[in-house]
Amino acid sequence: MQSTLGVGFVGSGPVTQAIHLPTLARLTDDFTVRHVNDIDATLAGTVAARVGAAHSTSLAALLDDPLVDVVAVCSPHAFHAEHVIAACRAGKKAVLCEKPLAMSADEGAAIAAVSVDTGVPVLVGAMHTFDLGWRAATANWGDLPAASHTIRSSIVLPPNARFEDLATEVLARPAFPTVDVSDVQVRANMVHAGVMGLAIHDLPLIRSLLPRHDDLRVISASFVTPFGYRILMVVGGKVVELHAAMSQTWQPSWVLDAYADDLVLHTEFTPSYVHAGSAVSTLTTAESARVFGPSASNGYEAEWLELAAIVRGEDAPPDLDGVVDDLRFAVAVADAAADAVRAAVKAEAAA
Amino acid sequence: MSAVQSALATLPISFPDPANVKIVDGSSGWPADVRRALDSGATAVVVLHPRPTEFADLLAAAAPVIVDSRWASNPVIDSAAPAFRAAESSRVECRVIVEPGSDFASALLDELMLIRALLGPVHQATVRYLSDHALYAEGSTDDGLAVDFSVVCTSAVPASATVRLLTSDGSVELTIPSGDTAQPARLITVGPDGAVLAPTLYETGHRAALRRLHGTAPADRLTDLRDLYDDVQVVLAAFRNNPRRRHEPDRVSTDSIDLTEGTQP
Repeated sequence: MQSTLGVGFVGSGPVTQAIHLPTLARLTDDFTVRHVNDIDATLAGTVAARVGAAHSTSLAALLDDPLVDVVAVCSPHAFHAEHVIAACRAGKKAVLCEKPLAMSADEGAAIAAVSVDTGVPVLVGAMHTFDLGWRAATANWGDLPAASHTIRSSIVLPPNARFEDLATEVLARPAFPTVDVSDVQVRANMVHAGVMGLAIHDLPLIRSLLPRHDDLRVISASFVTPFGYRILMVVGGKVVELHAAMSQTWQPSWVLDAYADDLVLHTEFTPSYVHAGSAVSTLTTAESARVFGPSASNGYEAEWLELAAIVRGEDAPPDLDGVVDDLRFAVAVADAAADAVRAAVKAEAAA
Repeated sequence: MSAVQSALATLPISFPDPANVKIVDGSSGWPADVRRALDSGATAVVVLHPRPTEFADLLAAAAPVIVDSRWASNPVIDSAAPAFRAAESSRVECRVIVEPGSDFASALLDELMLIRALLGPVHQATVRYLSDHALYAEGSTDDGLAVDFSVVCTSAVPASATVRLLTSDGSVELTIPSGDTAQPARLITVGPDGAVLAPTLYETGHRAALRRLHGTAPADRLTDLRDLYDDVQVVLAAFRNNPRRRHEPDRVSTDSIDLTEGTQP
């Protein structure tokens, strides 16, 4: 029996290389990387060699590896559901799936059913939900979920490479696709992708501030060049603004604000890919401000440590209903925002 | 009002006879107060934080009328405007925090005046969302720059205005404090070589407005009123076109907008 949990990665791109391997290098008391899988055999082999792990190009080989206790699904989004379900069916001890859990609510429900059926816990690697700076704020925010009326998420980021290259030495970085943004369908798709790839980090946090989300209505949505979105929506009786812009700037800014009449939450997250500790949250009233964080441990570490605690039986498995509801909310936002992009063009044409 | 009077006292050389400067509170009915001040022989009038209302009859005033706007009067504008105008972008955000219960039409007017000062006039605005707690609106400048306006109510943090323009490789961001004190605005320009914080100016917007009044050439003495008039028309149209945008559970209120006072253009 291994003294540490053996980890197998499905997909060995920049997320595996720049996020998870550096994180697990700091958590060697709990984890050992045992297997790296990718459809690119050379990439899988090279990345695996860095950590002394086996490699393969087939999912079955990874799932059959007895040294793999925990499967980390870092494959393209469209394959998440298939790979998570397969890992559960293989009887692994746990699955960590990169966000989003899947690309539809039905897929999410299927994953939840399989997780229940097999008893294999599934965690979503939504690092902000694990971030100590965020969690400390939620533990102290009192009635903010009920009292808040306005929520704003704004994400400004340089190209990922700026951070990936400072976290590790990345192999085989996928090229950003060249797209024709004069095509409204392309813009709608990009906004959808932006929600599922970028807003997805904070949508679970936003959902935790909402009494409900089945009344979601997107007021306006637009694509922001060269890549980003601006979405204004009303949900749960609150107005929510989602904004993201990726450019060639060096200066990142990742903030989540929630406003009530007498209390404001302001959280500043570190960018993705960096290993620079936790977010810093500030809860402000007219009389005082309480600051939570930064902690030296970031959300990536926290999610892996929580997974280890679950496997050891020290923590309860994640609330799958909540996880699936997070996905349902994200998909609804993405779909409605994409529809709004298309509808705006139709309205302009009609006018 | 007293804040402007206090500011006037800090310019004893520019205004040796401050009694000649009439200060008019911009609350409801301010055009009539301005008219009375002009009729009583004021050599200059300062309108403090005017609410949107009709006042076409004032555009032929005989004495200078300066608008002391909540954000646009801040002395940072002189250095911020060139920075914003030099930056290339297709979108700018203008966000303000105000006290709960504030008048949204006035808040939007203050934002329009700020964007005018920084980037140029916005000739049309569309209210996208309005509740008791927040307003979101969209507009664009003559250059086609999209402007996202927001007004959020809270008493937890001081009132402020933030304008952020993201470029292809950086940003220009301006944060203007409430103006109750001489706390300086922060103008930060980010480019490939780093970030630059513009020199801070510990002067209230009231004092800066009065300095502007002192230095205003006769030909420009009504520029403020004309610009205000244009911005007021944008606000009034925005609220007329969207008078009761209801989003449960919030109750929409436009009660504070006076759509009848003054002369219709």
